[in-house]
Amino acid sequence: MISGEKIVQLVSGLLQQVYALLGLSAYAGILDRVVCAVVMFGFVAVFVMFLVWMERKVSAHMQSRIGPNRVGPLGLLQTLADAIKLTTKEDVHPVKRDKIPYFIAPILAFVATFMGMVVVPFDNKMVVADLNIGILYIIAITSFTVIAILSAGWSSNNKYSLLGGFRSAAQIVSYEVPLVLSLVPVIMITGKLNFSGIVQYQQQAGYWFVFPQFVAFVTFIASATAEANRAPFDIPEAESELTGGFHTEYSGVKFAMFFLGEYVAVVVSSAVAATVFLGGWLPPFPFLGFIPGFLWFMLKVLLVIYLIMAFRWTFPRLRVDQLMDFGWKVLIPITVLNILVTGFVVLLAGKGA
Amino acid sequence: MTQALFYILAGVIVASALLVVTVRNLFHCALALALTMFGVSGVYLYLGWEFLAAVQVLIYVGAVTVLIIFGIMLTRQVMDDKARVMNNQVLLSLLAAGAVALVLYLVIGHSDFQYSNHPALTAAATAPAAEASAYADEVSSLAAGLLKPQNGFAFAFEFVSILLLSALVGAVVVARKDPS
Repeated sequence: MISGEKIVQLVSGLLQQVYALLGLSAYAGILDRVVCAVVMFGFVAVFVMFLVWMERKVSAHMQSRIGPNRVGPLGLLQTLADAIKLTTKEDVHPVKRDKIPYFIAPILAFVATFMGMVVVPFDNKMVVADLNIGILYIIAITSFTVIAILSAGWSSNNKYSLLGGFRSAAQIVSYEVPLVLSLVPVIMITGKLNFSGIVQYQQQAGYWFVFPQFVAFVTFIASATAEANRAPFDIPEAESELTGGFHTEYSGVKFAMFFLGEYVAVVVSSAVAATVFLGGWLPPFPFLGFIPGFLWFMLKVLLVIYLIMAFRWTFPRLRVDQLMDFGWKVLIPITVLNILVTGFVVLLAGKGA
Repeated sequence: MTQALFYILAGVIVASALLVVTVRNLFHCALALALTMFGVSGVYLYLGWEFLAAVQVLIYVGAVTVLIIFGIMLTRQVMDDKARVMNNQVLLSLLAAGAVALVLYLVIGHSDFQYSNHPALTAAATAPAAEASAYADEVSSLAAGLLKPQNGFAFAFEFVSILLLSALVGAVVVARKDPS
């Protein structure tokens, strides 16, 4: 039977032999991490290309259109063509920009979200680094995106960019609160911050957290959509009001980095949702266990991503004040109440850590 | 190898901290401050305190620096780098900084604080395979240390959270528009 653990063992065994062949066995620890990073980058790049295609197909389906269908079978290679076009474009930039932040911002925007992929468990033991504080790590490292967006908005020396940057930062900072708070009940029940540990708890308990914590799941998805600046929460970009938001003045590869970062943010939040609420690599029923865990995991991630995409093409964009009201007056009270109720239940059941 | 890592981290921290106080463009100062804070969290990681490192990034990069950047963006123009680096309180501030450094040196030198949580640094280096599990469960021990009644910090912990809450409410009251 194929499992993530066996694949990891096979690949790492193979890598050891390659290192020995090249006489680099002494640096195996570092080289392993380099290989992990490269593989993860390749995976993310290809997966995001697929997601862009999927997004266009989903939107086309919801609007009774066909969507991309010219390049490759079913239009699958359309995104590849777009990506090549984007990377070979001339890099146009404003003369009066603030050079250093302007250069750093797109890199930071991508790297900050990409770093989150490090702790995502694809299968049992199939994870780059199974940190003890996995959840906290993802929350911490992705907070760099705020700085990236503010830098981009500021350094472009353009009032639309600046406004977009402001709105985006305010939005991310506000929605980070319900995002974190909706994960707290699960942490309270399991007593763990480690992703694999949370999945193992769900395996032993025999249920996924989406059932007892459905409220938390809904608030998590809503705040994750807002965190990723996606419609209906895409005010920072709001094409009709701000031309392009904080990345108005970016083109070519730099624009592609922002674009990639945004999709990676969606992937990371969906992976967190799939792991914490949908049982990660666990099959829905034990008799389906013959299908390898990482396929189940990817299926769940795609399901959550589909949900987020369906949101985008269903709901109209919120106004700035509605957005802030929704975050502070609806989501945060619900999550806090949920934490209180869960705390009582955990106390009564006496299974607190 | 690990020694070199520490010196690289220390170099980044010191260099970016110097940038914070010498660069004339305030926005660049704020970015350098973020780098300093990130470097400090790197030192925590180097010592094996994962939880502290994550909290450091979350609070100082994700919240404090962002707040400072907000302040700068609301009060300054983009190409405006006419901030004064020095003022007439140089001597006084040097004195204060020196005093703080002295106190920190004395306190840290006399405490029995366990600097490192890293198995390779505390005990004889164990097998690298047991890397992840060899860490003490830092979060649980921190929680027990803070909240177990017999340790005597529970009251202070609750008191600090009430203080923070009142500061939050106070900020809202101050910032609220006068109804008249």
